[in-house]
Amino acid sequence: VRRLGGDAEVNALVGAALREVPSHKFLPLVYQVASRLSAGA
Amino acid sequence: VGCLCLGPASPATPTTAPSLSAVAVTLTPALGAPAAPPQLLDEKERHFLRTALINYRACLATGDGYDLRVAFRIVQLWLRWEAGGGRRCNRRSRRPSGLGGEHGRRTCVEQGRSRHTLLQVLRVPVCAGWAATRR
Repeated sequence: VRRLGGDAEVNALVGAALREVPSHKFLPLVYQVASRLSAGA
Repeated sequence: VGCLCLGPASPATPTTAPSLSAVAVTLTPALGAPAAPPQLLDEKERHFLRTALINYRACLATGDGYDLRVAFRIVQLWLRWEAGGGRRCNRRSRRPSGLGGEHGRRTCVEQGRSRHTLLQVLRVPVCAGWAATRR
């Protein structure tokens, strides 16, 4: 199976979405995203 | 229909024979064709995921309905895609035991470039948006 990890295009798309979309729409996700970061950050 | 009910239970009755042959004609090429290479399937999956990501982004940027579930879906697609071998990652995260799922999800984030974008989410846009909504 071909791995798609580290795809710059995906990060560019998501980064553009984060810049374009009002960020308060992501607020309900912050606690989940932060919990993911807590393991290896 | 009457012929099928009253006649003997044989697939070769004149009424059923044409439909069976039609099914056989339809299925024979599919059975005989070689399986599609996995790389082709991955490319298609990648294409569909990219299209979904673009459209979810447009939906979230232009509309006010379904914001929460679309935001969840964008992040889900992002992490699943970014993690590579997303099927494996999702299978892990669907485990009923909490530890296995947590470990799978966290491993996916740790191993990719998504961490950089995650930090962007946490630092710049969310804080700016939060400040904007507080004004």
